[in-house]
Amino acid sequence: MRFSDLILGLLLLAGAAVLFSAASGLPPIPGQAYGADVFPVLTAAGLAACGFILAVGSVRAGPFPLAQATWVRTPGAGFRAAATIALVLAYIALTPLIGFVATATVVLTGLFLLVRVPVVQAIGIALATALFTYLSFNMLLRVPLPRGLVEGFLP
Amino acid sequence: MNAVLAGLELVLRWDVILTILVASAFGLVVGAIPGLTATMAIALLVPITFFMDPIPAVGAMISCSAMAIFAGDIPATLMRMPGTPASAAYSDECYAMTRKGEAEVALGANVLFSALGGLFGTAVLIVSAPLLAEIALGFSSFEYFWLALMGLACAIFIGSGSPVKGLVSLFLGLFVAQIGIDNPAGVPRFTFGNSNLLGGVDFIPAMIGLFAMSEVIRTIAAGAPDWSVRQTSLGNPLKGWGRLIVKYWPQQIRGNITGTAIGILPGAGADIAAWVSYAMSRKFSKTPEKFGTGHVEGIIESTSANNAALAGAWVPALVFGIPGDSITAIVIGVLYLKGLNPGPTLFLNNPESIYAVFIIFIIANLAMIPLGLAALKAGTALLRFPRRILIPLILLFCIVGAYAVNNSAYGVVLMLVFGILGFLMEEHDIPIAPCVLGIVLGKMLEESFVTSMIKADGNLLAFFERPIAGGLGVMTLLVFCLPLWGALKRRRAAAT
Repeated sequence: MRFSDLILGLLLLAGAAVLFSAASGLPPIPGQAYGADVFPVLTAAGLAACGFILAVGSVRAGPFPLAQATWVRTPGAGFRAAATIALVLAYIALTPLIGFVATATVVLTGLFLLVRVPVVQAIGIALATALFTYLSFNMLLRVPLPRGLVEGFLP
Repeated sequence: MNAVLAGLELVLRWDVILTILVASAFGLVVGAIPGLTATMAIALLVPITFFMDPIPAVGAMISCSAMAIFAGDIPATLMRMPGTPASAAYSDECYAMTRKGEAEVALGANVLFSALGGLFGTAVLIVSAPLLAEIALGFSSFEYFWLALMGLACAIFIGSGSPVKGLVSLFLGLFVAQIGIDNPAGVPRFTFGNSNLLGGVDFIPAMIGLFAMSEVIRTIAAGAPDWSVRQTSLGNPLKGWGRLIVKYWPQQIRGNITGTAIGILPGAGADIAAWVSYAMSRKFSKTPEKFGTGHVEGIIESTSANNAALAGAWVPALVFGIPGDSITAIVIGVLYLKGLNPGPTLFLNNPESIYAVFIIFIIANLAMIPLGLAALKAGTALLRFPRRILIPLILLFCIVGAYAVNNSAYGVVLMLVFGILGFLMEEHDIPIAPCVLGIVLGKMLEESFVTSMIKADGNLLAFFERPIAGGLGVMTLLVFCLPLWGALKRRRAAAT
């Protein structure tokens, strides 16, 4: 997924406008000329300048096909990228409900299947890794990963 | 002398030595796998360091990064695929040597000169850091403002292909640094009513996202294909070490000096050091026509430089709290967490920790030789580990690491957001390093600017009134102006 410099420039200009309006609402330090708004305003100005340069440069250079990264040409690349993000979102949503071990097994299996690891192998490695990670982080490093379904079975 | 002994006492403990060895092995594996960088190795290591004492934590990061930078040379030599960007400059040259049947000479030179380069950088660190710290004790907000700005300028104009895209990255980083209540007016800024954001964006999940998660998304999108590794039989990598040292000592010294200098420069790190040194080696070589055909001269100079740069980058990091490269950017975050706040006062209040850091640098670089030689034997086996299995495991490690920062899912959310951001940035050729420096230096830049303006009652000329501040100011403005002047000159030449 790649936008042209023109679209990128326009997006930056829009972002700069939003940042500028948000910064303008910040209260000043009483009695001082420089407050919490100075740096956001400067950042917005910088982003706007960059956006303008990119957009103008792109228009001047004229239309030319965008060079896409090699991975984009792999069939199903967009789906796999989106699915990876979705699986992390699923991890965030599911861990409080079913705990780390179950969620990590599901997410890892999903990732393995995305890159065509055979199903049985995927589930086996996912479960073993989830258990190993849970035990090492919970017991050795004292990170309280959510127990969920393993409550009562594992420490 | 007492501080040196106390430093030795801190380091020469079984847990510290074991940590250094394990972290070296971890750095070796991550560095040797193409696509995984030394910075990523450090970002993944950070959550583990939470549970360590300060010295083993710092030791882990030093040894891991030193080893990862060297290990990047292994796939560069065997497969023409640099393990880390720092090996990219000379991977063609190394691979050409492999094709000529001289893989062991190339890899042997990589081990030896990486270690020597690291030791040279360490020597400079040991000598210069305390001296600079003494000078830095007199620094005020004016000097820190210019130092921070110079770090950002170097990152844009030295480190990236397109200065405009480097600037975009920097402004994004500065914006991230502005989030939270920690600002001159003490008002919530861009927190959208979210209490998690009041304290600002947690640096470590952001780093894990930018450096590791983005790479995971890209690799899984590509289907995580395995590399086709050709079996290269390795002879004795120790062969000809003496001859190489005698014959190429000027290249080695020049590489060491260039590497350390570039490392010290805020914002520029090992990869830039390697590129500059390789180009320099070719320029000064008596046989430039041999470059590209499998000639060890350029390899020696640039492999010396990238490891020297690693130690050099610690100079501004320890003395001013300004990162020399993206690795030290992460290290600074860990130093704060461990109560070893970087800055000149660290040298006064905690000299034994500083000496411990120096000693760890020496041990890590000395350990590189036996560990590196062992790694060469395991090199091709390491590269045969299926990426389809490895990459999902890295993602799980990223998730757990981001969670462990605050033991909350908020860290995972941050990691994901920054992972997507990093992925999109790289898709658009927007470099990540300036963004990281913007996040690290943003607060220092703003605080020093506003404090200075309050002190000077709004008079901008005050930034040039103190001698060191004035000098730093002129240097910073030059870093900004020189590339613009160069571009204008090129345009004029093209027009005529």
